[in-house]
Amino acid sequence: MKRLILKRLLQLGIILLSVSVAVFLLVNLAPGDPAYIKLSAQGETPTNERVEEERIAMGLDQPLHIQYFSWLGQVIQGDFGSSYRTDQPVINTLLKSFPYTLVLALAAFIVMLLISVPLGVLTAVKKNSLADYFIRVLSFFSASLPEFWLALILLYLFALQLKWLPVMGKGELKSMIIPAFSLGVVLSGKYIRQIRTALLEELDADYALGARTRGLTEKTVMYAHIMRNASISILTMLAMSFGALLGGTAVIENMFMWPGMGRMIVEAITWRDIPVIQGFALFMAGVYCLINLMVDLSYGLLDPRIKIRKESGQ
Amino acid sequence: MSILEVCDLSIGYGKQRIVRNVSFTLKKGEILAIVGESGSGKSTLLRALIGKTPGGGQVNKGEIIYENQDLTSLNQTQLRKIRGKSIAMIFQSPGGTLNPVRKIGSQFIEAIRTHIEITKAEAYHKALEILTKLHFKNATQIMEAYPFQLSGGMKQRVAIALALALEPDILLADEPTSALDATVQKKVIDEMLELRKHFNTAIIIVTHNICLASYIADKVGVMYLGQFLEFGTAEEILLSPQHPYTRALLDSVPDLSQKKTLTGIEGQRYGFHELPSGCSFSNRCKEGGVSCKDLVPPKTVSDHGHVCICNQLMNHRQDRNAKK
Repeated sequence: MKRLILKRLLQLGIILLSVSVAVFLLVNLAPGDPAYIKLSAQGETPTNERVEEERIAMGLDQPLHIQYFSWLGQVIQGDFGSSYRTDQPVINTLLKSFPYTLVLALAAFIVMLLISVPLGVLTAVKKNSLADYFIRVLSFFSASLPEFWLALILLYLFALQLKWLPVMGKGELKSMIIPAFSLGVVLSGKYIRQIRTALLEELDADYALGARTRGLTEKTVMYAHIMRNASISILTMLAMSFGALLGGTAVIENMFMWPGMGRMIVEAITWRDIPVIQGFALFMAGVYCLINLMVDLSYGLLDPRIKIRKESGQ
Repeated sequence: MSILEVCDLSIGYGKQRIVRNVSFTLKKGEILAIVGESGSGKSTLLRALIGKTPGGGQVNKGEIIYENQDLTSLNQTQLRKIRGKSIAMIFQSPGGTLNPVRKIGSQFIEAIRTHIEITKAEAYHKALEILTKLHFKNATQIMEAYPFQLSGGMKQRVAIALALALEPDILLADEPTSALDATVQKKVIDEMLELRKHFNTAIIIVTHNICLASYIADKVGVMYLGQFLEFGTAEEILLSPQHPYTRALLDSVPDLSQKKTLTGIEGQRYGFHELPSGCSFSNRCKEGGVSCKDLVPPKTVSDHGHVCICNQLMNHRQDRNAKK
């Protein structure tokens, strides 16, 4: 197990390194002179002399690979540079806004789980029944809804008409309900179907038939046999959805003035705040990799075949 | 005393009838082999006996009498109490009935506790007992193992043990050895024979291997397109087969001592949707007449219960008597 974790961490390092190259090049190849952008972001008039001074101060006169390595050296020490606009260290901005996004994503994820797991199981068990068709049509609709549209409807209903919930807030629980629901419901439309498919694949497997011929109830067959076998593919899907949620809350965050990363990055892009964009991209890549790693390690808990293979080092 | 009686059973998918008018009786401790090509309805018949016809198949007609009740009239809840406890089943893929992600022990305990109310510890001991009775040397280790840690033959033997955990009256075996190699096959078959000795379990074994059938069975049913074309004791079927199809099947078995050329059975069988009104084997039969296709073959039952469904039966008998 230790060897596996080490191996995975090494892989993670390599992935992050390649992401860093891409991020670095992307921003540097984008049109516009970073020094010029920085000066105008800070409200200075970018005269030719000032731009030239700033270019030297920022090290932009150096060759590209030297720029990259000095940047990388700082990044490894946790220094993503300072925002062009606020002059604050990027890492502080990231760490300040990440918890908000994490909480929102978690809430949306829970909403999604609460909707899609029971309904996914129901549609699989009652395959081709009226309930199955109804839920599948419904899930098709919810998957096709834009989340901001759903958010607007919910806002109108629960905040403006019924006045149960605030229109927007600064991170307290009550103000999170509508955004979390908008994200969760839309996502659940997709996962109801995926969970249904994952379970249907196992429904007629030999071991399920075997369990039935031993006289087990359909319920036991479903929960103790089929669900356990389908859990790996379901877990993988769900974990990927969580990653997608973390990176995909920008529209909703902006609508609700939610102080998370989504709003931060939209602002950064508007101002062409390059260090923040770079920091965000690297940070999200790291989070994705970590989620992947955790999913990978949890496979062993769910499937003894994987665990034992790993332990014997094959 | 017969323990299972199947009368005139027909099973269909929509309009197609996959099993047609099958009748047989099974005594306690008796082994019946159902032989036939793939797609002849053998597995469907077997699965129907525990009310688990695959994918939408339905019993159209007939009765399955077990302990004075007709199984075709029971609902799934009632059938569930019989499944595993009185009638158990094993399948072709070695140990395919075992859940790959759960320990063998837990599957034993679960199966036992489904039918009798005992504690986990008691169920565990009962499982160990069964495994020991079936000559597993390291029963405790097997209980702790996952199915993938065992070899194919071992898995199939464990699957048999699991099916027998509650000492059922009848074991249904759907091609239990087809996926195993020859040496392991023999071991599994011998084990099934021993079962019968120990527990007096009646066994219905479905196979396309007529040699295997002759080795293990007391009675043999030869199935073709959903019908028992011939049914009788293993001896009769093998030594004096009456139906042309049975003879053709036997001629297709390689025999090293005689170095004969294998004849095989030529032609394509009818599809279930294009069955003729007469004999379903008529298009491949070498001994049949022109009218076989349209003439419904009579069911001839001899004094001691040998059944044969053929139009030409009388002619064949006369021919062979003349040769003698």
